[in-house]
Formats: sequence, structure tokens, C-alpha cells
Amino acid sequence: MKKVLGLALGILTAIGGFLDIGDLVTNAVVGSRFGLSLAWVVLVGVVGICLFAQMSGKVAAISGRATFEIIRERLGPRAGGANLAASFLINLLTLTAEVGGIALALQLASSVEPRLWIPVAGLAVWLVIWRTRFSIMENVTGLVGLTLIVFAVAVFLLGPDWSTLADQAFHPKVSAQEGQASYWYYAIALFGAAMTPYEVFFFSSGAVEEKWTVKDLSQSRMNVLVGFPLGGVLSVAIAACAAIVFLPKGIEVSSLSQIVLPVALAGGKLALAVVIVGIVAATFGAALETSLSSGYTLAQFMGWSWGKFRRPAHAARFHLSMIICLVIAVGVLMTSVNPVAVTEFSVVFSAVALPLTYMPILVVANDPEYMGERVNGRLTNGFALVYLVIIVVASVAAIPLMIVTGAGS
Amino acid sequence: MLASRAIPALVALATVAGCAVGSSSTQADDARALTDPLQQASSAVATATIAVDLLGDDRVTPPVADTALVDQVAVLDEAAFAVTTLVPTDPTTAGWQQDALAAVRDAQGSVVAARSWANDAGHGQQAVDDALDASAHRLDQLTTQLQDAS
Amino acid sequence: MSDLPEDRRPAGRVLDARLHLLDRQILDVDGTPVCTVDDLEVHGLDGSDLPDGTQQAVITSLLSGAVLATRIFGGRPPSSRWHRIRWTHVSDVGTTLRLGVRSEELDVTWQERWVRDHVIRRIPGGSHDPG
Repeated sequence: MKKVLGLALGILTAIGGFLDIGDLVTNAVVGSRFGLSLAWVVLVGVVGICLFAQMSGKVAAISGRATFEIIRERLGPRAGGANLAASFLINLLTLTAEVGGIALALQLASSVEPRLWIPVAGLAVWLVIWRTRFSIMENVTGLVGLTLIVFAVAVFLLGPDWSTLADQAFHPKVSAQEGQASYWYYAIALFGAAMTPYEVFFFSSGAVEEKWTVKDLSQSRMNVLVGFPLGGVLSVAIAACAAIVFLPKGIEVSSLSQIVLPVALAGGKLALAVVIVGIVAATFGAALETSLSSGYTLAQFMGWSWGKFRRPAHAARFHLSMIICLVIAVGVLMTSVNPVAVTEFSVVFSAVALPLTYMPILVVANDPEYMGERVNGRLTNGFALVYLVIIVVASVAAIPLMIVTGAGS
Repeated sequence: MLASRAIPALVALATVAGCAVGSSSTQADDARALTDPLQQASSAVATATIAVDLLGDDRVTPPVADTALVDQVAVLDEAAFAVTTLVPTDPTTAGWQQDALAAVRDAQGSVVAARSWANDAGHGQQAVDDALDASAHRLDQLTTQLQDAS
Repeated sequence: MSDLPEDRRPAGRVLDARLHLLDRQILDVDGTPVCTVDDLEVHGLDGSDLPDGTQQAVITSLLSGAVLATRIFGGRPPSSRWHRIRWTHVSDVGTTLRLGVRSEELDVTWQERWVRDHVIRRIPGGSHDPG
């Protein structure tokens, strides 16, 4: 019985923890402009992140080492250093977007302007990192984030024309108004939002934090293979809500306040309250994960003592670097930069950084020195190589498309 | 020697790249440059209409409606900026610019009035709805006119 | 029995210094990460400081330091910039190097101790285990 509960908890936490501000904003924008004609990208992204999360969890469970510890050893300081610099900066950008997302969600709850919430959000994130145990942190934000299921409920309550939605999803066409460049730009953005790099660092370091062994691998496989796809379904639900309400009226989504309107339309104030709670939990959880990821990547590369399982006094530089990252994120947001704009940039740059993140995992997962007999099988390697090609193509095309489309405008 | 060839080539490349994101120079280009902010403004008015209707039906809390409306005020600011900073090429496009500016300003007025109503400081919902509808209609007409010209 | 050839292989494991030692994580006796191996100090058995490959040599210490820039861009910092961990402290070599001493006792972790004493310990809750 306990095992079933544990399994359920893992899966539910994975679903609830899947969405972050990048998924919320990008899916809503895409839904309002392209309908469900980019839903296939979510599918591709979910399969990709399942593949690589599973690989990095396996590496951590079998070798006892987290990703970035191994990257420097395998790639050397030059390549590893480039990897660290890029990953760290993208992480910081994503952290800024997530903290901004918390502030925007709190504005929806209170009408108090985001700038006043930003320092509060930053402090709250830090306090949880400072004092709360890893598993509690993960479970609470994951379970509360599960309330974002209300987006899927809203799709049904809105009574859409299912045949139109299905047609958009299964026969994707680029509308004359939008153009090929915009279509592919948003495809890459959606891909970057689904396959966020920090997820992989966090997953593998979390495996070490929770001291996974080979026995925990089957549980983790279930969490990933059931949880992430269901999280992907929620992403598509967000896009569907926007497609049903905004696309016919030609409304462009550019703010979080617009994203919750379809839910209010479908379910009134109750649904609205649920979705706001869900967004706060999802962005808060993602802020925790990204700040921990910044700490993990830096400390693991430099060889410092790290980990939430250690008291802060025993992982001093790890905690100091996270404090500095949060201060920088809060500082950037206090310049009144639009958090939604930061989010849109962070997902595109995540797509650019993906090859740097995923290739080392593939290299290590095939290394018998770390994995013993449990190196990747041929099927896994086959899939992984296909994805590596997709990731490199997306990464190379991202910046030129961003320039040509003027960041999607 | 390589540097003496590379530097002029780089300068030429940079100039061409700069021209690739160049400015509009024909009537059709101006029409296109004006339809983007007009569509942005239409989107803002439509969102405001949804927010007002939801608040009127008590399906949304006042903070959310207020936030939605203030966000659309910001969108309208952007649209107005895009219209005002256009340099028209001839008297026709200058006329279009004036029309577009008037339409966007009208939309701003309607959304601001809607926000006042949402904060219990303005006129009734019917007046707000009518003003938003009128602004939307005006923007649509002008957009269609410009799309036919581009 | 005297027909068997003499086993001339040296006792112990053969390691490739670049592959198995360089950039490896060093853990202390409790498993706490200490630093990474940035370089090795090698002395000749005959006592010479800079063995040129003609004499037998042994590793005398692991070197670590603020040398990321030189590792990436090239060059070597002077000998005084390095922190030394004596090879005699190493208790195991695997995917990580295990030491037999605690990280507290080593010079190389001075930054960690400094941040701990001057920043982390000053924030309430820093010395406690997470809730």
C-alpha cells in the first residue's frame, strides 16, 4: 500500500511540477496565434525530455554522481567551462522569468503591482531553499501545482468545436497571416519550453540528493514516463483554451492576466481561484528548481561541496552562489522589465543551449566507467541520436529566426 | 593581409544586415506598418471586452479584471508608440497615420473608462460595453481599409 | 615450478594520469567534496625536481587552485599559487579520489571555510540541518 502511495506521489508530483512560466506563456501565445497546429511540438518535446531525464536519473543512480560533476571530467575544463557558462546564464535568465512569474501571479490574486511582490517572492524562494527539506519542497509544490488540471477541465467546460481543434492539431497548416518563419520560430520556442535544460540538472542532482540507488530506478521511470506526458497534456490544454477563446477574436496573448481569462469564462471565480493557486505553485516550484540548478551547476563544476541534504554551513559556497543568483534575478526584475518578455527570451535561449546540456549526458550514459554494465542500450541510443539531431537543428535555427521574425512579433 | 580583406568584407556584411531590417519606403509598406499596431489595439479592445463581460457576470474577481485591463492599457501604449513614430511617405499615408492615431487614442479612452468602471469609479457597464464596441468597430474599419491598400 | 616465467608486472593498478586523475573530484574521508585535481606534482625517485622522463618518478602531490583561466586559455601559474594535497593522503582512486583526511584540515578549502564563517554562519539557520 505504501509503495502504491509512493508511486502515486511521484507521478502526481511529476505532473504538477512539469509546467512553469515558460510553458504557460508560450503555450498560450501559440494557442492564440496558431491554434493547436503546434501541438505536435509538445509531443516531440515531451518524448525528448522523458528520454533525457530518464538517462540523467539513471546516471545519477548508478554512478552516484550528478551531471555537471561528470561533464568536467569527461569533456575537460575548456569544453566543460563553455558548457557551464552557457548553462549557468540560461539558468539565471529562466530563474528571473520564474520569479517574475510568481510576482505576476500574486498580482492576479491581490491587485498589488508586481514590483512590490518581486522582493517578497525572491525572499520566499530563498527561505524555502535555506530551510526546507528537499523532498518536502518537491512534494508540496508538485501536488499544489496539480491544480493546473483546471485548464484541461476548462477546455471541456468551454464546449469547443472538437472537429476544428482536431483539424488544427492533426493537419497543421501555416496560416497566410503568420508565415513560415513565425511558425517555426514558435515551434522552437515551444520546444525549448518543453525541454528546459534546468530540468535535467535538477533531476540528476535531485537523484543524488535523495540518494537514489538502482532500486529506485523503476519508480523514477514510472514518474517520468507517466508524469511528464500528462504534464504535456496540460500544456496542450493551455494552448487549447487560448485557441478556443482568443484565436477567433484575433487576440494576441501578451500577459498572464489574459491567460487566466478562458478559465474564468469556463468555470467562474472558483476555477479562477484554483488556477491562480496553481500558477503560484508552478512558478514557485520552478523558481526553486532553477535556483537550485544554478547552485548545482556551479558547485559541481568547481568541485565544491553541494547539496540540500547538507546543512548550509557544510555547503557554504553552494548556498552563497544561490543567494547571489536570486539577488541578481530580483535586481533585474526591479528594473521594471516585462517578465513575460523575459520568459519569451528564456525559452528561445533554452532551445539554443540544449545541445550543450544534452550531449554530455549522452556521452556519460554510454561510458562503462561510470555506468558499469548498464550503459545505454541500442534503442535508447538510437532515439537519443535522433533527438540530438533535432536539438542541434533547433539550436542553430533559433537565433536567425529570432532576428528574421523580430522575436515573433 | 587576410585582415585587410576581412575588414571591408565584414563592414559590407554589417551594412547589408542593417539594410535587411530597414525602414518602409512605399505606401504599401506604410499601410502594413500601420496595420500591425492597429491589430494590437484591436486585440487589446477585444480582451478588455471579455474582461468587462466576465466582471459583469461576476465570473471574475475585481483584481483579475483590473490587472487584465491595466495590461491592455500597456499594450495600447505600445501600439500608439508604433503609430506615432512612423515616418509617412506621402500625404495619403500621413492621413492614414492621423486616422490610426485617432482610432488608437479612442481605444485607449474606452479601456481606461472600462478600468474606472471595474474599480467602481466610472459609468455603468452598458456605457463601457458600447464604447468598447465602437472602438473595436472603428479599428476594424481602418484595418480593412489599410489592408486593401497594401 | 621453476619453469613458470617470472611475473614482471608491478603490483597495484596502472593509471593514466591525464585520464584518471586530472579534473577528477577529490572527496574527503566523510565523502564531502573538497576540490578538483587541476594538476599533479611529480618528483624523480632520485630526488630531482623536474623529471624529464628518463628517470623513475613518483607523484608527490595533487595540485588544485584558482587556475581555471590558465587551464582554459593556456600558461602556468607560479608554484606558489597552487594548493597541495599530499599523495600520501589519497586512500582510493575510482571515478573520484578519496582522501583519508577531513577537508577541514586542508589548505585548499580555505575559501569554503571563509564563506562559511563570514557569510553563512551569520545568517540564522546556517548551522542547522534543513528542516
